[in-house]
Amino acid sequence: MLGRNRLEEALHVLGARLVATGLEYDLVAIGGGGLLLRQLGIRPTQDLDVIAVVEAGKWHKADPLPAPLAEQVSLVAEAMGLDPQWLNSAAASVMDNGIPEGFNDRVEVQKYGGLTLRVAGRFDQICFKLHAAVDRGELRGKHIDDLRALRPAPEDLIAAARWSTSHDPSEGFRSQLILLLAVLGVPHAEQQL
Amino acid sequence: MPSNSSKFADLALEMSWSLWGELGVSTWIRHHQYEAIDIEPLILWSAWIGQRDRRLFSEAADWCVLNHKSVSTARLRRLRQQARPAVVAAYNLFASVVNKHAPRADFPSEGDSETVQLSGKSSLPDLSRPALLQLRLRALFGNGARADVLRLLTIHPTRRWPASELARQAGYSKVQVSEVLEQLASTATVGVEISGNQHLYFLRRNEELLKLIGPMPAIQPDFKSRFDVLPTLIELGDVDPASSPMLGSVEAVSVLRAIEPDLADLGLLSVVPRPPGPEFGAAFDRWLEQLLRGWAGLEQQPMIGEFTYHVNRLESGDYTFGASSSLSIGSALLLPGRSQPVIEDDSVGALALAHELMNQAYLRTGVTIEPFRYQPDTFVFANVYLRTISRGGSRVLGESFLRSWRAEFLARFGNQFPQAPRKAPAARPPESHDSRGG
Repeated sequence: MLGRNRLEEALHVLGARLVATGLEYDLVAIGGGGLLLRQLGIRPTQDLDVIAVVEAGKWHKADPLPAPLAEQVSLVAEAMGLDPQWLNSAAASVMDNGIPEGFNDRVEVQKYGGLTLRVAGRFDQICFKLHAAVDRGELRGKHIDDLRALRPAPEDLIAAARWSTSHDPSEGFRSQLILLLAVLGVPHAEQQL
Repeated sequence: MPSNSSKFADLALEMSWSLWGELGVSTWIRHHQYEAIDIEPLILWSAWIGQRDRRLFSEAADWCVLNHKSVSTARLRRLRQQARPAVVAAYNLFASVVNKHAPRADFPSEGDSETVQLSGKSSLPDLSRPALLQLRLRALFGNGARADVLRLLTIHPTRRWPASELARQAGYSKVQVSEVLEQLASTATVGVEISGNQHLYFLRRNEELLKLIGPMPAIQPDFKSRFDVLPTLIELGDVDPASSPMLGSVEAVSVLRAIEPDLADLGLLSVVPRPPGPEFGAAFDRWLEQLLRGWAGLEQQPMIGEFTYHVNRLESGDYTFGASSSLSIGSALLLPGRSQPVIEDDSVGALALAHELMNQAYLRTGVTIEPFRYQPDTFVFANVYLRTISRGGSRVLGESFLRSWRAEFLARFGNQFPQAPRKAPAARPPESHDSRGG
């Protein structure tokens, strides 16, 4: 598991390694790793989820990661004894149906040598965490813990819920979403969605 | 690691000069009297490393001009096909220089030539030297696959070889090598064993052949794999030094991955330091330096972070030995079961000492090797590294060198004898050496 210090050390090493090999990458990160980097959470995480690679101002779905970057990630993993997937693009499918509006205005840009990270903002993390929790049918667990750590206001949760239904408009998803919102302190959410 | 680059390049050049010196190139450097030289991989390698030492380039070319009849152009062609592009480019230039000065050499080459003044100082090789086994075999059996197959088979009569492995190491096609093996088997020079669906070949008329081919070298290193490793170490060493120990470890992982297939061929995978951790980079550097010092035939040097064994040769010819590290003062050691520190210079003493040195070095990594029973590696190590210590003199041997030397030696035997080392329950700490203080 990666705590904030370990994750930042790995990113510094990766960024320095990119500089040494003449590489440069601009990535968009979300998830538990992103929460740690923005100090929005303290729960150790398994990985840093990268969803997009930014090239010349354009965002491209990061699936798969560019091969030279994946190679350097793998080298850092072996040298530091990290999970080989400590930085991965498994969550990049979130790009398929669009990210929350204004996402780019809320990112925090962090620089690690040859690596630029655009780390998702608080509201966007609420959106992703809410969607992930509902998608997995969770009423408790790591995504709920992360959500609570983000201290979302009811209006944040409603806005996030609206965004998440745009990704999955099914009735089953909606039912689970309403149930979870109630658990999170937003009763009768069906009237607001 | 630019300092490593020049350090590794210096060691590689020292090795190259020494090998060419053994062949008859004009140089005073000679550390390889006991190692069988393999000329074609040396030519390709020297063309590449010769870009960093133009005198080596021109003296090696000078030797080839004089002695091209001893070189297998078929093997050169095949090795060139397998070489990395930078080596091929350097070799093409080298070959064109040789062909310009000796048109009958007909070294395979492509591209333009350049004018290189040759010294004309090279001499014909002294075929009585043990290291020149390959050239003696070629003088007897011609420059084809036959001589190189026999050379490999003489590594040890106990080793069983599949034709494919002989072909790989000899640098000829499997078809060529299989034909040679069939012919040699028909004269009972070579024996065949069938294991599963594999034919395994071995030298049968060993004693008769050894009488014919003259003084045998102590070791026949896999020079092709050694030369395949070196450019990676030297090229990757040209980048800026790592700014942190962890970054150094990442670079070391990158180097290790690049050379892992060749290390496997050399039998060194079991002894190479492994990540993770910030200390891995430095440990890997130390390991490489000691390995290259060994390959260059240079004396070992005590290194920080490593255990060093000191062997003293008394005026009587007998031995004593001890160990030290940067963290501990030296302590005398005893052979197992002995109460006296002096080891007699008889038929057993140096061999038992050789075994104990390697045993101690392996114990440092938590690995125990089988007990002493006159293994071939103890014979060779004693002859090359212990009996060559002058009376009243001493020699230091680094722990990683000892492990690497043994691992590489055993790989040349096909790991058939002795058995592979096994993991011990726990590493014996340095302090637990049988010690007499000191």
